Amino acid sequence: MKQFLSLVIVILLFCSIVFIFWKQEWQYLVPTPIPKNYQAVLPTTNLSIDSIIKLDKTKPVFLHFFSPDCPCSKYNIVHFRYLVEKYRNKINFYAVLFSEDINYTKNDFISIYNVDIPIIMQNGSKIAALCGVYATPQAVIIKQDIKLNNLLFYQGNYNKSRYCSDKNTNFAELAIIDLLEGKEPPNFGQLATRAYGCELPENYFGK
Amino acid sequence: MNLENKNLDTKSNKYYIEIEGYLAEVHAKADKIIDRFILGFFIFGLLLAPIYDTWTFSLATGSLTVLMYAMARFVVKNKFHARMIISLVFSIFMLQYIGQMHGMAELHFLFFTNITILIIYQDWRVIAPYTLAAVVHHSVLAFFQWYFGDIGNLGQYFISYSAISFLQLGFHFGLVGFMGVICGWWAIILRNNSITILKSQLLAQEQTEIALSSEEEIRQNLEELHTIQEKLIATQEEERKSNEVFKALFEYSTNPHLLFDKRGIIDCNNATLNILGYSSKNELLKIHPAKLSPEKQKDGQLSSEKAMEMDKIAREQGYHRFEWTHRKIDNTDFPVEVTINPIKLDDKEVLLVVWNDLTERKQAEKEITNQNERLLLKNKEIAESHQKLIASGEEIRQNMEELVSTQEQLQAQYNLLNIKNKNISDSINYAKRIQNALLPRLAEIQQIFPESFILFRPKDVISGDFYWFANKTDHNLQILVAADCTGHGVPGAFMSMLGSSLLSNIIHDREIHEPNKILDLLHSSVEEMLNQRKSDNTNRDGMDATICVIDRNQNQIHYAGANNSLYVISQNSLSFTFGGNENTKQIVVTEAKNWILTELKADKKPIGGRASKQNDLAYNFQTFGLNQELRLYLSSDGFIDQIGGENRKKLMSKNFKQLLIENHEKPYQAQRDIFNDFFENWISYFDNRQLDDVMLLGVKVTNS
Repeated sequence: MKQFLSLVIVILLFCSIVFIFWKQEWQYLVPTPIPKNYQAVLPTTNLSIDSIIKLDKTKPVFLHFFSPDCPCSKYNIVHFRYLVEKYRNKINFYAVLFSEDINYTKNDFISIYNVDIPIIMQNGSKIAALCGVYATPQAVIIKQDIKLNNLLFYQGNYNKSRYCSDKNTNFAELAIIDLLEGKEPPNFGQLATRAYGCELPENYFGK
Repeated sequence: MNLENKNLDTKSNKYYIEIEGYLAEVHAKADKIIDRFILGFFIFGLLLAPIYDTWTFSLATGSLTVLMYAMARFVVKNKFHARMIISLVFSIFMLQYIGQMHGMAELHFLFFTNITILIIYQDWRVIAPYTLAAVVHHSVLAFFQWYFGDIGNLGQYFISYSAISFLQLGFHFGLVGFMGVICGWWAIILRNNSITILKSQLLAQEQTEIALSSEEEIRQNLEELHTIQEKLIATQEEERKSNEVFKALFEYSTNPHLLFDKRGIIDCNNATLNILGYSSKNELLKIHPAKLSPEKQKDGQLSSEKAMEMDKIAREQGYHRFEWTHRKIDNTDFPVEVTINPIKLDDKEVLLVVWNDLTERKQAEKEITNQNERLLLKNKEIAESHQKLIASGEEIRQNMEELVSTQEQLQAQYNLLNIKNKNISDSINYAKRIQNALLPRLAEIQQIFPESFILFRPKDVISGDFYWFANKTDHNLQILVAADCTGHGVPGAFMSMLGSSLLSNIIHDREIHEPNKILDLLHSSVEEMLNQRKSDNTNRDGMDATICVIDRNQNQIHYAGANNSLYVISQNSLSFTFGGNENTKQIVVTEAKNWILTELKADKKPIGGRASKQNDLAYNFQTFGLNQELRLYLSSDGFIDQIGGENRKKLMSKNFKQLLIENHEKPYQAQRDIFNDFFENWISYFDNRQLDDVMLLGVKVTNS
């Protein structure tokens, strides 16, 4: 009996470990479920973002949707730092923060990413809904046209791989390059547009 | 493990238990090593956490995995199950690190390191779950990738690959499987080697034990052999000694020894040659035995016949002893006592013949016979002497009877003597009472001289010394006399009685008070009474005396002495007024402290008992003033002449005067006790033998 119980405990432990693996790793192997009432926002859509937040639009704007509570958000830290370092002269980078921790500050972000960029701490969900973002991490590039319209240039994953380990599928960087080269918004297909990662804490779609 | 044992040994194998124990030791050791690896894995996970901020993942997974390991290690009793779980734990840690490092390809190498660690269990089965987990894990992912992939829900199952081919999967599985097989194989080899070494060791140990056992057996056999050898040597030695003893007994015996067989003499010793007078053994051995005996023996039987008869008896009885007459080379015969013993010598029966020469014995017997005859004669003489002694004894007995009779008479006389002695003692005691009655009482003297004492120690019961006192109130004078009669005991007492009565006559009846005249009259009276003036009278008895007359009218003291001095102690010198002859200045003065002791020496002539003409000279006297307190001591010579003290010498006048000087200031009764104690102590050195009567009279005289 004792042996049986001990084996049961071992099995329970094993299941717990599998659960942790699921929670921390394996759930991110597949795309994030699409929220209810989700409305996809297509490139070149004029975004009325000014009503929510004032952005420096002297250069194209790059919004990094990020949640410190999401393991997946941490996977591409190195890649995002690379992008900031490389393109900060040509693009204004912003981090849109989703945190359940009310004490989370800009400094916390800087200490992890080691990049000094503005952080949007409020109305993150509204901005996300406006841009068609429903998971973290996600990248959004906004380009202002001659008429000062805020056109969505790219919205999607940074890379096909959640760890940004596949150089050929660095979708965000490829979009920046296209933007800087004055090309039309790229279409990388579903691998770029179907989000992988953590769901947002609040669903603003349909509101 | 059971499976392994079936291959290597069966339970009937004698090594089975040893191997079981040994493998248990191996696993216990492996468990301890793995403990450290598990702890290391957990720590390694924590070290990786800061890189991609995977604290939650590493802590949660690491802790649960360690817990799983602990369950397997310490709770699950079935070691096989436990090891399967531990193998799985290794897989989980590997997956954890890969996850923590975002699928870093290098972390996949952990598969190879971990599987190598597991070899330590020396059990191929431990490798299996680990390998299988990796294969199954990747197979599932590959299936998902293939089944869902780009077509389905866009799953990204392999981090670095958008798709995975069967070729890749084949290599993947092939290498993993190959590694698993190799490690499992190594584990088996390692285990078999260990068992082989153990078996070799056990075999070697067993062989050593067998060798030791054999060695012990050989050693015991050798010891036994050695003991047997020693016994054999001892037996041989004993036999050799026995032979030597026999040979020595045979050769050197003083008795003749001969060995006979059917043919005749085969050997003999030197004693045989000596007694028979032959010079060599060879000479004797050639002789026929018949030549060693006279033709006939003493009983008249032929020697040859008797010899055969004796031999036969000896053979039948095993032993025979008899007397025989032998003949020497010079044809003289001699008697022997023959002892025949049949013995075995070199498996032949021979006769050991021993002769005991009876020549001396026979002579001795003859001598004894002669001596017996002489003894008989002596006995006869003794008997006669005895008769004479009996006669003497009777005579002695009669003498004894006479002696007894004499002894009885002596006893009767002794008894009579005792009675007489008692009577005499009684008489003397009675005489003492008379003497005491005659002597003045101390109280009488103390009426006049309150401070005074008398020490009166007769040698025997009654004394030859006496003192005399008269208080002549009509003339206002006191007369003190101390006298010492010749002898002591009864004769002395007679003389003292005489002296005492004569003094009474002279002083009281004739009223003569001058001391010298008293002495003159005393002298003439004694001579007269004892008829000493007659030429045929040999009696020389008399006395010495000291006379003091204290004249209160003239406040003077007159002294006259016959042989006895007067001792006066005063603070000032005595004022003398001499009378009589000029030669009376016999004064010796001793000074001590503030006192002066004056010895007034007496005339050297006794009262009575004189033989020469000087006896007719009158006594002198000395007069000195009573103008101061005077302490007078009158004494007989008993004190001064007593032998004693440490040197057993006479006390002498000097010591006596010293005694007076030292003690005259003490109370008079105390003085008496002091002088008495001194005297007793003095004579104690002389066996308490008092030589003479002792008398000392002390008075303090004042002029009042």
